[in-house]
Amino acid sequence: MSIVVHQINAFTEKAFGGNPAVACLLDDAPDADWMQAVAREMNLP
Amino acid sequence: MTVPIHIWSDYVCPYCFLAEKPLAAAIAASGVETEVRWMPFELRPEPTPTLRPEEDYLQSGWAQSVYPLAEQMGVEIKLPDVSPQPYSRLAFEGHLFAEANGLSHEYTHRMFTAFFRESHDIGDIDVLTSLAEEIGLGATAFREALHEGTYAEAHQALLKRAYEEVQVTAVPSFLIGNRLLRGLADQDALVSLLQTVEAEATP
Repeated sequence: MSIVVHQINAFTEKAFGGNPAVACLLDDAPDADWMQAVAREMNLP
Repeated sequence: MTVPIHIWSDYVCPYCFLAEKPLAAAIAASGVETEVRWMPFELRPEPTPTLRPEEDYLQSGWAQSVYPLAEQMGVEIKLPDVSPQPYSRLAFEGHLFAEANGLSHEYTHRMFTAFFRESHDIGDIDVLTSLAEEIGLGATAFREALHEGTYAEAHQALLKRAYEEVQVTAVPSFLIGNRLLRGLADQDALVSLLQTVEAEATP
């Protein structure tokens, strides 16, 4: 299953009362070990 | 037609709490029929160290951004003094229990207010159980589901989808139809997007 997503970059547009959008950012891209651990738990490749 | 809205949030991100109000207002103002689903996102999954409220990162971020914005929006919010901040995995597993019982929105709102108004440790199973009971969920069944990890696999599958398929890297992120809006958006921006998506979908 996959979905096609159209990205809207709110960071460069008016987001809140004309201010740049704020968000909490992911610290790091999820690391490979973590993703593999998740995959193992789920019995996926 | 009904426009699906997915909103990815982390219970420890103040901008996600602040997103509740403009989202609800936009849905009411747009006249668009929507179906909102709250999606989990972990900014710092175990074992990534979580933030400490006494440190400069949160102190300055709240002083310069969160508090002024919340005041402008008329939302009561307080930097929680739980240190280090809790992991949100268990709370999200509880959300799936709440969703299965038709209380997703109530549970989500209670997580935000518990953390950002009452400084509850929402990583603690006793705290979560008590909050779940408050909104009408069965305490024994809720605790057991968390203890047994009933929703652990489903939660990890949703996270994986967020990271890999939708490529969420910031919260809040709104998926409205097939448009992904990153960051806290105001009511007008959300209304405009809702109406655009509805118009595109209407033959």
